[in-house]
Amino acid sequence: MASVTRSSAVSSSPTNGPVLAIEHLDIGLRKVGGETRRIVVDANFSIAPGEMLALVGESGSGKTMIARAILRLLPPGVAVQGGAIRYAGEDLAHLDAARLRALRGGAIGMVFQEPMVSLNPALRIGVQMTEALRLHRGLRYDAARKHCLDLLERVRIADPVACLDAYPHQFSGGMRQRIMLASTLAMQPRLLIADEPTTALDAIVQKEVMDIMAELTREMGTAVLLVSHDLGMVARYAQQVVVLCRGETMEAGETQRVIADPQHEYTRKLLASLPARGEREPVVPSGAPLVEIRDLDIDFGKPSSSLAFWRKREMFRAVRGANLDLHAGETLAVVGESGSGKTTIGRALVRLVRESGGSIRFEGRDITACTKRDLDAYRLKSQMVFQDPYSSLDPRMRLIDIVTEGLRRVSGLSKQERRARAIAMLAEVGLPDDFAERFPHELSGGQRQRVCIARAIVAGPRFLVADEAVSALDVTVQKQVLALLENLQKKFGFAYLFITHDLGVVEQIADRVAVIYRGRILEIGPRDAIFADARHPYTLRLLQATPRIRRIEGGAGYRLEQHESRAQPPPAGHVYFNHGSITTQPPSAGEPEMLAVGPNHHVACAASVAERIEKSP
Amino acid sequence: MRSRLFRRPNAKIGAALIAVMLIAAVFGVMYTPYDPIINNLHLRLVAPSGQHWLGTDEWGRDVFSRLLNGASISVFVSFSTVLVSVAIGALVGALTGYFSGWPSRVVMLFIDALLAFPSLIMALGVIAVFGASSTGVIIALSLTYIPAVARVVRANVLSLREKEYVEASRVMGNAELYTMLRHALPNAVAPIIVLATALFGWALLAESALSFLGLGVPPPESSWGGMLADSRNYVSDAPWLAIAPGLAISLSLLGVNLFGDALRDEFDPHMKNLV
Repeated sequence: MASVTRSSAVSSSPTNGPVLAIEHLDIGLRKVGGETRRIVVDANFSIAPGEMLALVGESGSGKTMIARAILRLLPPGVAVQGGAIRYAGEDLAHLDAARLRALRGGAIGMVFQEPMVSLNPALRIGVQMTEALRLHRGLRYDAARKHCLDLLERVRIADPVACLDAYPHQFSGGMRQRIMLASTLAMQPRLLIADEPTTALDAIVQKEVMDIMAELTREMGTAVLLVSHDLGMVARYAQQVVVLCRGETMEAGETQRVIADPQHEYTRKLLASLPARGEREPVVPSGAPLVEIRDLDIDFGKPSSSLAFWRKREMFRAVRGANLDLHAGETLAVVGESGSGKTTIGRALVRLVRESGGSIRFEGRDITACTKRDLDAYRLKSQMVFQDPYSSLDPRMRLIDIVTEGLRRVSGLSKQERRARAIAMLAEVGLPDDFAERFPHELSGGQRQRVCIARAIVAGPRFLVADEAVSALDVTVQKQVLALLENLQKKFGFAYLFITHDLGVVEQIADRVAVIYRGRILEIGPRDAIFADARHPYTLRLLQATPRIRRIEGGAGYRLEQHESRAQPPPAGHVYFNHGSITTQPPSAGEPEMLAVGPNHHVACAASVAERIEKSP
Repeated sequence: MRSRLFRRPNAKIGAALIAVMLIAAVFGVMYTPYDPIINNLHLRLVAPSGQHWLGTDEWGRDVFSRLLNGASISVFVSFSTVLVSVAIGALVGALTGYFSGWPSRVVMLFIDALLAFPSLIMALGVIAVFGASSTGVIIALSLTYIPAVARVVRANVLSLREKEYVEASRVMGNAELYTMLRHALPNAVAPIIVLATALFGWALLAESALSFLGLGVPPPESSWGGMLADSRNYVSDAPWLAIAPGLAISLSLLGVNLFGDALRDEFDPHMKNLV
């Protein structure tokens, strides 16, 4: 009890000097043989009150380990080997358990990556939020509840009273992360550790959560340790940055300075790996498109209980009336948040899901209603590259067999020819001969993705659906795989349907962009038109939410760029089509129509109310 | 993988016990010191000695010879049961797991209904139909184990079906059945092997229980359960009659279970709750 009062006393009296100081911190992993592998080597940094410091690095850089070491949440076998973690003068690495418990969740708060699992699903939000207040401050439930209501309001939860009585599953990921933030900040911690707090969230929601976090912590004077792989986000929010690679500090300093004038080779490499607008020769759509998607509707049955198999299942419409053309040799990016239906369109194109209405034509032939033979021929012309490089290769097969299987449906090839072509394809994606006999588990994520690409292109398809194909990779690897995809396109003339949530990647490789929201395509146009002259309010919000780092022209450095295009009025007599919560306006009635606002640039509009009154007799 | 498995002491002891049992079952039966079937009433209930290592029974038959003979029958019945139930169960489980739709659900309803019967009671019913013979026991036990195998395999295939390499195979235009057999089922082999080991133990025990009840292999063929049943009347005068088959059952089962546990820990620690 004594320690609790002491902790609250410490947190209420502001002291000069840093809140947290990491000094010569070494963290090691003890292996079975008794030797230790060093995970973090000689880390040094400090955070002042009200300041945000970001630890940036690729996977395996040790950034999460440092954050976890502060609260002594290291996984088994991993331990602090040397150095000090000073919090308000105390060394956390050598603190006794009781004192540490008093700090955890009180003076030091933590927000984790996965909002879906960081709240206890069995307890009401109110019970969880007030827990820390009752434990550390000794507040009664009523008082704690009142305090929580204030904070829920601050993180802009619409109905805080109802929220306290609700269960976590009733909220979306972004809402849960805001609730987590509110309950952590309810303790007015002096230090907040945020480990990839918005990585699982969509761009717009990510911006909302980060804005709130930055605003509240600045006000409360809370020091923030942000762990992130996303340089754009770090540049937007953190004042200080520490760049880590394999446990070693590469560079540290003010974020603006580090980005504008990177000193270390690795920092430069990291910045150069960020997707940047590539120079693409615009593909002139000539002749009939390769693929025509017309009025495509796709429904999913909601899961029903297994016993009621005679009952008709409730349906959910994932894609509504989609129209898309894919021309030979072009890259069409489909952008949208999770659940927008972008993946479903791609899966329909490779016949992994069936449509409920509309048509998909390939070289003029409707493949939603054709003979088995035509479908078999189409399968060879369309291929897919999946998101997760760890589950997209059969773990029991050698690479050569995985790639050769792509030729299984190609007739008239001898065994040697198949093998030779598979080896040639592996070489094409940058994997030399000696990879042929390896198993997937011997490969890194980037190498696995290369195998997936080889498997997809070995039979000579006309187009590839790439579903978040580079999203799971570190930026430096991502850059290489994107370059590979571009080279293959130049060489073989594939068209890509590139499904992604990452606007940076889109800007780098797309010729045209389609923006989709809740199953509807809202805007479609050439890449430069979308990025420079976006019309639909949703597209604009998406562009503004994505932080972008650009090379300073004529210099070696980089800077954070704000998106500048302004909202523009819709074509005369129309309003922008709107369904759901895109803008504050009420949803528009009826079906949208795609109106041209530039060459090949269309935006979803609905007749304005005035227009409708005029038209009606 | 193999070297790691045998680093576990359980695996070593288990494997040794199983080896003794298998050697007895396969080779021992060819080299029994005496005929295990023919009576020799001059030598009734002889205590263990140099000549009869484990003594003789009430018909004057050598207990050690009958034990070896019983081993071959028990192992044959258990092994066949495992083979039949895994073959059918895995097929049913893989099909119902991979192909959703109402036929799968109907089949699973049947499987669930089968699971609701206590296994020994169901075996009794089946043997009443097929008669007490080793074939009858194999059919009865297989029928009770098929649902367990089907359930485990189905659960695995259900999650494997969602794997992207399975989808990749479908995108290539490979037939669904090919995709299931090539990509889904082989990746469910580890839990099937673990389950098969456990089943072998269950079958061994169930076969003994059925023979003990007189529903297993009919006399004069020897089986461990039957020997145990026959010993009841003489247990105070000739305890070796009960001790020998009892120990044989216990040690074999211990071996199978130890090895099965080690195998499970090695392959998939998550299966602890399943088997």
